[in-house]
Amino acid sequence: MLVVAALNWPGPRTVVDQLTGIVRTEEGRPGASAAGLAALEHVLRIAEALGGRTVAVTIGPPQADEMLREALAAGAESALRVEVDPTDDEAAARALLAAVAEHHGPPDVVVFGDDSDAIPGYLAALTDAAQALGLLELKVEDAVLSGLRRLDKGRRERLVIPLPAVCSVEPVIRPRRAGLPAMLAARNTKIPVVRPVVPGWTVKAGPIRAYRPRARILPIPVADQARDRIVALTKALAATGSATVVTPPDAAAAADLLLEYLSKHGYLGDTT
Amino acid sequence: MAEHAGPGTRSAVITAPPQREVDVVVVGAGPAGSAAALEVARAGHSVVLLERGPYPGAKNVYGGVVYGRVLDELVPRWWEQMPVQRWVTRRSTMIMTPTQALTVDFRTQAWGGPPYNGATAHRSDLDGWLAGLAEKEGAVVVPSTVATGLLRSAEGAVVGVRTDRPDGDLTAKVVIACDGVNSFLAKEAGMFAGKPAGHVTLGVKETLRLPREVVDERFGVTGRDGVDIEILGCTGGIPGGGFLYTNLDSVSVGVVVDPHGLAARKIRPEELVAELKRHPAVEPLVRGGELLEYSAHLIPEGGYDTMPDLVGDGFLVAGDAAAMCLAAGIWLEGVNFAIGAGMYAGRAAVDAIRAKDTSKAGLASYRRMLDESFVLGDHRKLRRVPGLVLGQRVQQDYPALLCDLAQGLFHVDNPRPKPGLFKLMRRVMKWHGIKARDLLSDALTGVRSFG
Repeated sequence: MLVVAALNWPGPRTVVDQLTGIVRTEEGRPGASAAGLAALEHVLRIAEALGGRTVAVTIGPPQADEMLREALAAGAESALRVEVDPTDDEAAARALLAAVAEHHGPPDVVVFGDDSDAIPGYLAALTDAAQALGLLELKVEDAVLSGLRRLDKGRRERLVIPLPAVCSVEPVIRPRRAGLPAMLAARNTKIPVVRPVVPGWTVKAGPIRAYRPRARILPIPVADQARDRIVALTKALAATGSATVVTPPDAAAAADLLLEYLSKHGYLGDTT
Repeated sequence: MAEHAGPGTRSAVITAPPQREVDVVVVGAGPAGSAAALEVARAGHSVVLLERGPYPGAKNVYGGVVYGRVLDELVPRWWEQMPVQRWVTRRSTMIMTPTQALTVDFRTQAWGGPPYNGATAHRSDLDGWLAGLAEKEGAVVVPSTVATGLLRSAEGAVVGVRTDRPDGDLTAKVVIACDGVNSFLAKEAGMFAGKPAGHVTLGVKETLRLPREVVDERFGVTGRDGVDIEILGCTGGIPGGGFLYTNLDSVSVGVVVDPHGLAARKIRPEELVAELKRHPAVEPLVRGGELLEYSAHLIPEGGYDTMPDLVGDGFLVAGDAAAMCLAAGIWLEGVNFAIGAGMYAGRAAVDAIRAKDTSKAGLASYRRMLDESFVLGDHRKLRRVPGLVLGQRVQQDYPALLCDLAQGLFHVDNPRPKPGLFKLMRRVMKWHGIKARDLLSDALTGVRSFG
């Protein structure tokens, strides 16, 4: 079994001045995020429970080697740095998958921190794995992987996660502290670097043009005055209904209400 | 053991012969620690550099100007690689009262080219660079690790450190403590025995973002040229001073004050900085600056007489840990002393290891090298200055006297005739209650110290 901790290397972050609106980029603080460290701890626990191999992987520059060495010191068996400049989350997921598969084979469990944008979702889609994202808990009980996720109104959802799986976790657990001998041993470890070829966009974009909705031909309203004809055309003085507030009991009922509304107003075409 | 234990207060005694896992352990990856580790690693010995922060330079509490001349010996052509914000080509000393400011301003383009004089830099960059040099030579940097105490042999010699990591004991032939102003290791080793306590000042700094062209325009510089302004009389009567330095696209402004005076006056340090920023001589320079960072840190400004013992059995102290910060009015330096002391500590450790004698006697070359260099030379020469510059007269009375004297000189009071300089001097001395004998006494002390 291969259990992978996918650590997020913080790139430059965009900061918007609330007063002036000036946008600037700032270098992020180097090192794993709290969510990434929680992901690493979960991976170590899963591997201990299921007897798997552990790999820490990140997409990042050479400075990210420090973060991976700390993961090695904490107990990861191997580390891998992926050096690409992915254009989007899907490309990042493809790069991670290609790198891990090439060096260690297909992963059984990949755990991200919940600061990894849409990469976990894309990775799950690419590997046809179960996905359980934004988990508060991730543990192995009786050789079964399970997770706990927040829902609205303070509710919780407990998941049984089949393998292979892609998970992301919130930073609610602290990582174990690496021992000094392990730290010293990891300091001189050379981190393997992979530079996979990432395919570009699969969707071709056409030239950029302004959106011009198609003109709708309406019959000329019957009225003597031009003003009345315009009012009739625009329905400017027609009474309009106020917003309808609905409080469906659950998500399924809310979906039904939405579909009913869209169908009633012709957005879904003739569904009969 | 606690996961993040605080500083240790008791040494652990190793009864079995120490394992000597490494030749040297350096505690603290600041300028002193990295310089020491660099020297040891260059000599081919194993060295571990422990750093409390998550990376060297994580604690960016610093003014600050770096005077890099000492680096000539450590890093050839250091100016081509050191992470510099601006090269200081203009130095000013501003003497102020709440409504007046008298500035002595000096600039030279000689400092704007190699081999340079001083530079503004961020410690987060500088420390990372120096530690990186040590790492390239083979030093092992271990971040996020606190040295919680010393390991000693049954005879009392220091043989390593205990850290807050699991299995965290690390034995070594020599331990170099560069663990900052509070140096718990030096205290634990008994190096401060008999030394006066309470000789620190509190440095408070704000970093304000300003566009690069605005900094250039306001401070009258171009390119990478920068300005260092030291300020006297800006601390509301509390012993201390102020500073204003230009970075590339920000300025660092702040005060350095006596914490006891601060407590006695019941003033918060940020109020002093706010007051300084509102001063008519400073406000036009910092106007519109966006606050990026506020920080505060203790500075060991007590001078030569407050330094701890620097050498023990298997143990050396360097940098802020050894109070090697010079606060002598026109000179406010610390990083250069730290680098110098660290470099000599590293060399002394190497010499002692090669001679197979890491006892106090074997490490004595450290003190000798410091004595022969600027590190202790300057501190010894200026040992009386801290007492002079932190006194009431220099802090409050003389700034007011000089400002009033300048105002009297430059004030045109026609149709009355202009007053003579001595008459004016006597008048302002009387206003401020300054006696001629005190002025002469302080002048004599100044001449003896600075002369």
